[in-house]
Amino acid sequence: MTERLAQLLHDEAAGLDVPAPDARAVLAAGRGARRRRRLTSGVGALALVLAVGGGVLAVDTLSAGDGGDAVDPAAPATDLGPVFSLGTTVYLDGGAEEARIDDKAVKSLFYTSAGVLVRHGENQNSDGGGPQRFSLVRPDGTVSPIGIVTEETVPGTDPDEPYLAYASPAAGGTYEVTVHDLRTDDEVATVVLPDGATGGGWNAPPVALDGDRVWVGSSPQPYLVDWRTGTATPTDEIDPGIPAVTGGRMVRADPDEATVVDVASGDELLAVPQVNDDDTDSWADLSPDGRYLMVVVEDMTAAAGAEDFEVYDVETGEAVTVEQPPYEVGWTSGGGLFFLTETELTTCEADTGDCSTRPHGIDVPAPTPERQVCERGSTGEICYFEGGGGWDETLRVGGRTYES
Amino acid sequence: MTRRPIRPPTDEQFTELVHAAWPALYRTAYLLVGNRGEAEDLVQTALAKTYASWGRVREVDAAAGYARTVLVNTATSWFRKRSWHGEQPTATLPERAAPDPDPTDRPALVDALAQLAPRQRAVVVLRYYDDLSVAETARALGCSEGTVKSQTSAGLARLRTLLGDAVVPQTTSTTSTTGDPS
Repeated sequence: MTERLAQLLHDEAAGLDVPAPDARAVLAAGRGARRRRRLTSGVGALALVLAVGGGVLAVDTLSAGDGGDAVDPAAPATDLGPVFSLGTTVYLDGGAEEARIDDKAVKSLFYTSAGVLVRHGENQNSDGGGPQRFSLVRPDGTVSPIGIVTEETVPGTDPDEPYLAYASPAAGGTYEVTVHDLRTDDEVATVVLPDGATGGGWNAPPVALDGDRVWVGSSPQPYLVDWRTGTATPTDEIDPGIPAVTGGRMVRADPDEATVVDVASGDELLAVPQVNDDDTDSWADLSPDGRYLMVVVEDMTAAAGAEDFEVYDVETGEAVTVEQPPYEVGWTSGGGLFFLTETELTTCEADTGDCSTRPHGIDVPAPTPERQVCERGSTGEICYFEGGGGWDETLRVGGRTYES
Repeated sequence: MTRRPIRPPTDEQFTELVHAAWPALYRTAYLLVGNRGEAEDLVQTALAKTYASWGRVREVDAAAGYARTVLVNTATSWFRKRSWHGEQPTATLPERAAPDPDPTDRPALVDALAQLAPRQRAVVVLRYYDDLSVAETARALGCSEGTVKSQTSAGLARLRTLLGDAVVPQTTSTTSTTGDPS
């Protein structure tokens, strides 16, 4: 009974004037991505972005008014240094402590003030890979399973708080937001979202935790939950989808400028010019605590991709250059940067750009055996290989959630 | 195990692939993003990623299918970025399109697709344009078949509201497929 819809889709597609491909540009971009993949590859998303060019970056620090409700992100009580996992082993403080997760795969590592919250399950896929189980790794390396299982959704933590926030379907066809205390493994708040809230493509809408606030990326109408008071109100401060709120801040990007805003007050804190044209692509990401903005300007015609990037202090607008490729970057919960290779760990100060490298001494796990997977599609059988990647096939670094 | 080196395709092979796969990928991309320029960027990105991931493709003949999977996953990732314009509600969208297949159906269809949540949009395009089964769609999106079915149901319900029963009849089964049954 969907013949009419299918026909309209085919008519729409058939009526398109298909432009000729620029095969040389595709090949150049592919080579660049292949080189970067060799340099820094992880099993997660390939950090391919088309286009980049040079240009001097200037920066404006913007008035945040008289303060008002502006969030003042502070270093969390617990900075565990470089946090990463290989296989099902989680390493804290660059490998000084380690913990084994009793599951098949680690999906992502969230910072909290109680320790590192590990999301794990049957595979490494974060928000589309079956049940999502959780364990808390404390600073001393001890592990406690958390009594929560979610699926097909995006939870949120705040590096300064000992809580996990997540949404789930509720009675009556709506959804509810739950806040869970990781120290005690107890639920501390449940707030039902108004009728009309949607999962937005997930089993329940993705959320971000920001102190007492939970930002809910319901589509098309997002919501702001105050879990202390139990209120849920519509908000236009975030867009539908995954709320990219860290330390109470988020980046609003357009082709010419990336702006850091205080989400609650709407104050613009920092504006950085962006370059996005046929050969150049710019992108910007906040550190997990929201104190620093990482800005990459990538020349897509360069086979090696970007070889350095800028880090801005959001408060002062001062920038430093970090002489490392901006791919597979890990952030510590305190705003430091780190990069892992098979044998070495490099840490960099976000305030100065100074880096130091040392052998990490970790016996990295052997690559997973490769296997052939064949699928039958409308264009015939397709076979490709899974697994068999490099030493970092199962690497997950702290400060990134790897949502699809 | 010992890994054997993966040779990328020759420039000639890859150029041939780009030209052969481009039209079909572009059409799928356009339905996913609703914008010609974005569709072009999306296909270019997907093919470049395919080149970069050649170790998972191995055979030129398999590359077009692999590129389609990459394209859909990349589009879904784009949709979830805050700055993605396609996520903004469109206030001017008509509640219903005309019941007959006239030109006003076309902009309404693309606008309606833009109103769907990312995964719903991907599911609708893959199943009703690319004719993938539930199982094939689940593999392409890296989710469960149950999720495909629920997203199909939700997507069709939303499209019914936007386009009318004439385009998406109320009796539509959300678990049947236009490809092989699942």
